[in-house]
Amino acid sequence: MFSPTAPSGSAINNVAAGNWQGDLVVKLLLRDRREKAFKDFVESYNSLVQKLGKFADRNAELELSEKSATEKSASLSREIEILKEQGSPINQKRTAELEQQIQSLKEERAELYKTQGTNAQRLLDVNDMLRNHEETAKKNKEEIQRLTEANQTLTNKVDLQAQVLREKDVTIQLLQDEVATLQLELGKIDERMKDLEKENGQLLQRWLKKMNEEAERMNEANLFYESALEVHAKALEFQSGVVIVDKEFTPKPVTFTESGIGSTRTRSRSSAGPVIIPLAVAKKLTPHDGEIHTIQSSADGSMFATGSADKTIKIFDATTGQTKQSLSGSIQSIMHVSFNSSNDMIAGASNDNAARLWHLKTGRIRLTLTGHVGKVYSSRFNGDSSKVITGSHDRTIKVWDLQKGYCIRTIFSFSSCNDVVPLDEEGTTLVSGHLDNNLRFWDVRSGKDIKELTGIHLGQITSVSVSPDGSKVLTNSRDNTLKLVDLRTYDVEQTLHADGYKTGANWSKSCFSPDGRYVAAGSLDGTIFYWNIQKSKLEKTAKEHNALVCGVSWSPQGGQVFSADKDRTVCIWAGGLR
Amino acid sequence: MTAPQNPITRAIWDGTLPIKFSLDSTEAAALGAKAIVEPYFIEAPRCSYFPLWTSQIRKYFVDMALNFIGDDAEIWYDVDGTPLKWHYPIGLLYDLHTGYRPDSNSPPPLPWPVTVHFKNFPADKLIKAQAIDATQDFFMSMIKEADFLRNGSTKKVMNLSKNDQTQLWDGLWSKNYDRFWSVNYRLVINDGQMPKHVPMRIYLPDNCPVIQEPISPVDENGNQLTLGDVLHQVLPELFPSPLPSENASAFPVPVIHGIIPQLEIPIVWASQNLCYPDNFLHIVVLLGI
Repeated sequence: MFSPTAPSGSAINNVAAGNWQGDLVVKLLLRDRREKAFKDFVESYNSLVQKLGKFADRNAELELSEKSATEKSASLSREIEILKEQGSPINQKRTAELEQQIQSLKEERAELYKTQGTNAQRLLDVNDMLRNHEETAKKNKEEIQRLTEANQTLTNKVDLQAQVLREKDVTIQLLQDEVATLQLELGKIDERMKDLEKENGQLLQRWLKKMNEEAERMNEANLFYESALEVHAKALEFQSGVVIVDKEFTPKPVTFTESGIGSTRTRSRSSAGPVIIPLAVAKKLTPHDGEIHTIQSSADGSMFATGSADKTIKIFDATTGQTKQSLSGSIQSIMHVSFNSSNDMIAGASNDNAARLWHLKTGRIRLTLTGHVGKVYSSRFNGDSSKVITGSHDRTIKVWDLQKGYCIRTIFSFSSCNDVVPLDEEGTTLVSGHLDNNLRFWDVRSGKDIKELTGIHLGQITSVSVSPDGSKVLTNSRDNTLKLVDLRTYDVEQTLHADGYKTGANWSKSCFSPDGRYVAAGSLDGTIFYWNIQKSKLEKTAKEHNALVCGVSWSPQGGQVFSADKDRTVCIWAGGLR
Repeated sequence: MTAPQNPITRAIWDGTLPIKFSLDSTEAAALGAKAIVEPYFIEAPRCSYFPLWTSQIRKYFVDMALNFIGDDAEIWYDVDGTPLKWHYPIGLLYDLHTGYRPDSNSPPPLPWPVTVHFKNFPADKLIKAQAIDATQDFFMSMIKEADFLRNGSTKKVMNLSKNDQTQLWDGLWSKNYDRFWSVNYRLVINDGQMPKHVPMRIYLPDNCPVIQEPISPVDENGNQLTLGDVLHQVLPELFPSPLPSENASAFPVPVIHGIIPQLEIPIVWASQNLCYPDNFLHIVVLLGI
């Protein structure tokens, strides 16, 4: 029993202490009796509720199971229905299979019908083909028939031909025999011919030998003749102490009766008799106002001409030295003058790219030949004065027809031409000397070069001259040599040079003596050199000029030499003092 | 400590009330009940709380084909339109709401008809809470308050082991007297010391506010006060004197656990033996007939 730890205050309370506890117990009992009256009821109620709950659950379960059962039965009844309709699944499968089989069989049958159809079609086609083939076979048979017949005819023909051939063979045989015999004959004849040829050869040789002996005899005779001439000349010299100028010398060969050898050596028309080198100055002139570039004697020796930088050509009388004419009309300096063979015209080549022809009688210009595009360094007439040949620094050589008045041929000469000379009468062959040190031969008709001689000179060729007998060409060159070229062999026969000889200008002209024994050329210092080409040595020198000699020209008569120098001086050389 | 074997405390612990739970008729239809749902009867202990029975009540009604899927906290009870405060012990609520004087001659209103509501929780009048945990929390807080009133601090309660604390609650809802009282005894006895104040609440009818005043168990002289003294002290108009009067039935009387205690009972003893499990003396004052 609890009891308060502190003593109670009130005595009344103490007395009633035990009382109120008992009182409380009683009251609580009463209360319980009152309030717990329903306890049993509530307990029973709760148990009923629990049972009810259980029953409800069970009921729910049963309902669920009933539901599922009904569903199941429903599905089962459905299945039964289905089975009743369609039979069991096994039966269904069976029916399905059977149906499939039926389907496939139907398809097969359809296919078979189709194939049957196609086969029938094919049969028809095959029948057609067969018919066609039979027709073709028939045709072929006919064809074969025809061909066999043709074959037969051809065989017959062949037999015929064979026969013919056989006959022909026989003929051939005969012919061959004939040929054999003929060949034998031919052989024999050949032999005879060979023998004859041999004889002929022998005879020819004997004849040649004979001719050679003759020629030698001839040569000996000539030599003798020439030496005789020399002796004669020397004798004359010695006699008179004067140089004789053979003016009236006729151009006929002299036969020496002493030797009795007929001189048959060919000479050119303009060949003279023995020539003596003129060493005395007959006249000295200063006619021009400008440098003289060229000097040339006329074909008959009666006059000579000079061309100058003062653009004029002056004509002089050869004997007196007087100026006969002065020809003008050129625009630039005259580089070259030449007379034609009939002495009525003169050609002047000029630096104004033209060559001009003057009439000597009138002193007027007959023709101006324009067409060159460079300085014209050379102009010459051909033999019959029908053409003029010009050589220019435009690397061309032009041939001009004087009748027509224009250039008929232009030859491309590869190098600037310093001098050009016709080799023959008509002027169909030309020889030219060039800046490139070469000497060239040309055919005018074709315009092509015939021969080119290179390497003969080491300097540019300044003048080209043809020997009086036409067998050689003289070239003068800046390499200070002169060369003689044989026209047949194109070999350099001789080279002429001398101490102190220097070719002074690009246009320095040298020349032959009229008899072809000497060559004259002017030097830089004014000396004129004379070479004897037979002896191939320097013969004489003549010094009169004080400036370089631009050209030397030997009169065709033989007695005079004309020379001109840069310093406008002209000298006429003669045999002796007058 | 072993539980004290006191017939009074035992009787108080064992007290039960039959309660009839009826479904609100308008709600029944709304909640899908097809037929009339029979009311549910339980024998509820006076010392228990309504929330502890809510799940059982709910199960019954749902089994009765009631379509309720809400939370237990949605469920509330009312008597004659007044919502019942779920944090009061059932015994207290019965005494307070029926206003039945045990000394009257009329039969007591038993079983107590309570209407169960599943909808329209009156949030303005009641506190909504989680069902079981909230009740436990509230119970424990009441015990702590009682300890505080007794000692001026909650040291005693807080120093109890976790085990002991849960044992209090476990004992209560499993209706195990020994379990509960073995721990509670320590709190109540208070090591034999006089408590500073007595933990008690006084309830008046007609929704009067609850009276809780710090009441000292001894007067200025050190004398122990009785129940009458306390009542006279707190409600002098209703209890002009601490002593009982002759014509008791005409005057207001205190009711606790469905009985009218004598006014001579020392207040301390009353606090120790007549308290509810939450260590408070919940006294309902009923007016005279």
